[in-house]
Amino acid sequence: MGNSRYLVEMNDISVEFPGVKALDRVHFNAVPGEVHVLLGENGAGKSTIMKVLAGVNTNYTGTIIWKGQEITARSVDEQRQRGVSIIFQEMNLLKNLTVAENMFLGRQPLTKTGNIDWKKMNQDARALLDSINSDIPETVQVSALSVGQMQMVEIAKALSFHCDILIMDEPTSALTEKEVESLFSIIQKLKSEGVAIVYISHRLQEILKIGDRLTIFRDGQYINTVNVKDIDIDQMVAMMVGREMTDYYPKVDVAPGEKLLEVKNIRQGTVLKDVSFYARAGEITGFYGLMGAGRTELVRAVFGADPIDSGEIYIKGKQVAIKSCEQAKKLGMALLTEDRKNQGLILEFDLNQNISLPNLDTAMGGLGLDKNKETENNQRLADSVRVKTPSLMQKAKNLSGGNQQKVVICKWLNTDSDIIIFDEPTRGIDVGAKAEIYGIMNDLKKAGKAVIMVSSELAECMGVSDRIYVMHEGEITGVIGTEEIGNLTEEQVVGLATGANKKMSEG
Amino acid sequence: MKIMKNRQLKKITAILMASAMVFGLTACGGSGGESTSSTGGEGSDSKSGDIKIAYIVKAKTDEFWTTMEKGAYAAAEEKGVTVEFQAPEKETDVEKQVQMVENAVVKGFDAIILSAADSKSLVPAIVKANNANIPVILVNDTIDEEALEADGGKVETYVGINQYDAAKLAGEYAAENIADGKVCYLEGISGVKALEDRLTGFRDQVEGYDIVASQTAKCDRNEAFNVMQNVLQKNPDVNVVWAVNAEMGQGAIQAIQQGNYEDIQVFDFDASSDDLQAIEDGTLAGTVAQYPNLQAETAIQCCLDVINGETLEAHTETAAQLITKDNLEEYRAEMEKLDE
Amino acid sequence: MKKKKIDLSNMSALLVLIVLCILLSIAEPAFHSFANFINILQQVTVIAVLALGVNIVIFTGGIDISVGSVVAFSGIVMGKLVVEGGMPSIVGVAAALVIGAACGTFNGIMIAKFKLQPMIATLAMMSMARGAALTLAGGETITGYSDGFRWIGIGTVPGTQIPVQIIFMILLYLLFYYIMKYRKFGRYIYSIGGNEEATRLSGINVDKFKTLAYTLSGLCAAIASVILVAKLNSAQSTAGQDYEMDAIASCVIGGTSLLGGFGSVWGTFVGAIIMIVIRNGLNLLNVSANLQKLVIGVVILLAVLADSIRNKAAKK
Repeated sequence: MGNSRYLVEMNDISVEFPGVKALDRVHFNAVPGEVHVLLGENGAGKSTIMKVLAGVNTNYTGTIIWKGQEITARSVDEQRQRGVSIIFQEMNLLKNLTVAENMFLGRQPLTKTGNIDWKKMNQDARALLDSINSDIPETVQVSALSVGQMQMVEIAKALSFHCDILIMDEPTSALTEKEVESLFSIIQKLKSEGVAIVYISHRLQEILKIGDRLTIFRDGQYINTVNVKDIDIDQMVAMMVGREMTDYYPKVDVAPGEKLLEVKNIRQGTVLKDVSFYARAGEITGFYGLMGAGRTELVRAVFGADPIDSGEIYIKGKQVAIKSCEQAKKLGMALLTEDRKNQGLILEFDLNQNISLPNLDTAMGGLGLDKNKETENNQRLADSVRVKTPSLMQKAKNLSGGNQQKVVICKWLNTDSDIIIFDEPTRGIDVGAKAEIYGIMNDLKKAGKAVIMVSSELAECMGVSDRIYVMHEGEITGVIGTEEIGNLTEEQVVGLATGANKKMSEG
Repeated sequence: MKIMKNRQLKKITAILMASAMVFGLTACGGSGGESTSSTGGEGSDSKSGDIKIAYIVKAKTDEFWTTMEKGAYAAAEEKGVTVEFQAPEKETDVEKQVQMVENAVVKGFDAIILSAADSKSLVPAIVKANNANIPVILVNDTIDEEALEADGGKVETYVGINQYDAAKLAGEYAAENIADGKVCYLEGISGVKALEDRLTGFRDQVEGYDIVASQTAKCDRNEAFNVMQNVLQKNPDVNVVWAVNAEMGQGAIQAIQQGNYEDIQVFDFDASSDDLQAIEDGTLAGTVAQYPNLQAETAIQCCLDVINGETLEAHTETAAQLITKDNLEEYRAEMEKLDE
Repeated sequence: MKKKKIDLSNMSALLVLIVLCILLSIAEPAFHSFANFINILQQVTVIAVLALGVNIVIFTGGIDISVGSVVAFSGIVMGKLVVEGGMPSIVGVAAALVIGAACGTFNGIMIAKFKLQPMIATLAMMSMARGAALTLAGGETITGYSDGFRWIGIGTVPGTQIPVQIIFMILLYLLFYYIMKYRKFGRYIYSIGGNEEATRLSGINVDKFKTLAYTLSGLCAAIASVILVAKLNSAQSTAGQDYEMDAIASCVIGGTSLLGGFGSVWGTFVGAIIMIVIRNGLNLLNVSANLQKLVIGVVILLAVLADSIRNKAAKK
């Protein structure tokens, strides 16, 4: 203890939020030149402890020893001066400013006359972007970038502060393969320069690839710190969830029923080019593709969230015109959006209000909204998908990602829809909660619903879906039938998703 | 500031050009060939005969001003001049009035008649008119003379009643008829000299009275209702009210009626039709009539005199009168003539 | 589970009101009489009814600055029909309500369908409605209403000194309280303010409910106008100037968030009363109107500061 081998030591750190003990006397340390992975389910407290170290969350108890001296983390600025740099999970970029402006926000280089030195700022930004092998132009507005590119800008920005420790909170969740590769080479470079890297991720494969040491939290408790080379994925999962996870993708056999939804020749600008598909009762229909393939746009268009240029939609064989989400809902459709926080939930409202919203009829008594009836109904739904919360009066923003997703599921279970579309249902969610969500999807399938799942995770898509449509640049480039899923290799499917091959019929 | 003005100028030019085009188009559409010569003829006429006067007041939202407007157009017809009668939306919109004067200067009127919404803010606009050799005649409201002199501006004359003397008529009547007065004053908008003169003109005649309250009700009826209600709450023994305009007088009457208070003599200023009705009903003791139509006629005559080279007295007084139940019918008959 | 949640956002406004009343009672004995209590409620009616409608618009995250002009416009239409057209009062009242609702609906359609910013759309309406009133009536004051009509504004409940307009106001507040708390409409309005996109994607017809919010705001303005005309026996094109600011201030003092999603009907009622109590108290103390404005400004700041400090504390 207290020896200066460590760059930082955090001991007995506790953080309490109203009604929740987010961290309970946990420990964490880091040595220079290592990649230290923080692992745990959502809500385990990984981000919370890093926010303490970065000076974002100053309301903690416990001790922090920085380079052998005890310190108090009082503010982001102070911690940054000490050498702590953090890349947040949420994007903190200002969309209407350029890449370079964002990178040097509040510390723009000045000319002698006190004006912003645009030339120098752009040059510096360029140099930083080059150093991470990124070809993002430094002078474009951030609003024009993809989510993955924004993430790269965040990384470049963090590197511009010369730091001893760099915290990356799920840096790869929105990156393409190529971008992930270059991120890893950056990490290697920083390691060799003696920078300690804290890496938070749910992608277990990645952890094996780049991690040196691993600290595991569960429900705000410290579980263990181990060397990555001494451990395999099953052990990691077991420590995370506190039990052995045997069947990762439990598949249920149900004979598919009628086509509940059929879409023919749907077109939308340059985003969707003549897309046709169907979804049957008692089946999970998967949509796989890379970022920007048009999957989210497709399901939004079908749900009436965005207008289409042409195309036909049939529900139970009957042609329908869907011009609004309201109509889609009335026709028995549900859409669980990709972006839970901004589109799925009203974060400042309590769970009751969120769950009831799509179908307030379930909360109506004789004299209007009946709080007791509402709570009763919603509690039943919340229990059925095991939402972890002290009460339904809790605000949605206080829940972890996995629990938020379950609340969104409750919203739509409340409507008793027949066609349920999940857009990236497990993004940013820990393994335990993932398995539960697959379970819910299987239950829906057994109940004879048509389930549609959009996913960027190939393993998940192949493990859960009964049939898969592969999309590339607004087109369906592959249709994979039930029998084929087990036979195709991952490389073959990726080949379809990158547009290298086409396969337009099942079997 | 400069940019603002330029913008305004640009706006005005644009509007002028647009209207010129419209006129041009109608001219073309009409009788093409002849139009050129006839326009020329009219142009040469305008110098001698067609005098254009900008008549800018504080608002058109009050009977006082609408009566003045009627009087102005009647007088214009009689004297063969063109009058453009304009006003901002509300009396407190000083800035808009300043713009109107500036616009009138740009448009090149032959004279400007002005009822200033503020005794100081209008000074620079008057100076602009002076610089463009456009005579300015004040009506109903005076301007701060020191400020005007300091900026080197001048006005030809002030046409209007003497506010102080007019209010004095009501004050004297009250002093004669009501002993042991407990008075409530409903003030106007602070900074308007005419309204301040009306207050002191009355007050100086009734120095023996107890002043139980002196509050502004912003010349607004609903505000006066609320203020009167509040004042009566604390001082139910009020027996005289002096409201410096008719709207506030009416608001006070409503509050008094609703509270069933008796023996409160309300006096106000302006002699609106509501006031006349109230005198008939016995809810209003007296109101000061300032004959806005007469003021308009006099102001227009002053313009003509100035254009003909005459020099006028600093104050061209017009008559004011206290209307009570004794002379109500005479006054009504006089006003009805104007509507014919 | 069944523990009653106390809505703290009302509390700070209520606290301000209580403190104000105590201070004024000490400074001026005439303040705490029953008659003055009734006066205050009567004086608050117009602003409170206006604020009720504006409040709903603010719940959706919008704003309505046209209500003062709509007061004038609907009042003038009523006056023209009843006094000059010789129509029965009930026709005039109905016409005023239709005009008010129509102005509001127009605002709503501009905002919901044509995606104009609420401030801009209602700014335009503010000018249009005032202009329409001025065009119709000029400087004319339209007076001379039947006793039956004037009863709305100055009548009292038989056997008491309580003006009937207070009863109208309270009934209206009860109705809106019920709608906002116990009808789907209320829940949708709050949800739109909380997160419009999430509400739309929950299959709610956001455009319809947003438009309805503005319709209600216009309707409330017309109701306020009817009461005002009946109270003063006059319809004027200058009526209701700056009332929108009093209405918005009432909402804000009462704890309604201008960002939408939060606030309550009763908080706004308390907010409106605070504004009137200040004016009433300072009148009683014979303090000048200029100082009254200053005091109201300070109170708005204090009420909102109290809220934001409380919110910060709650976050920690």
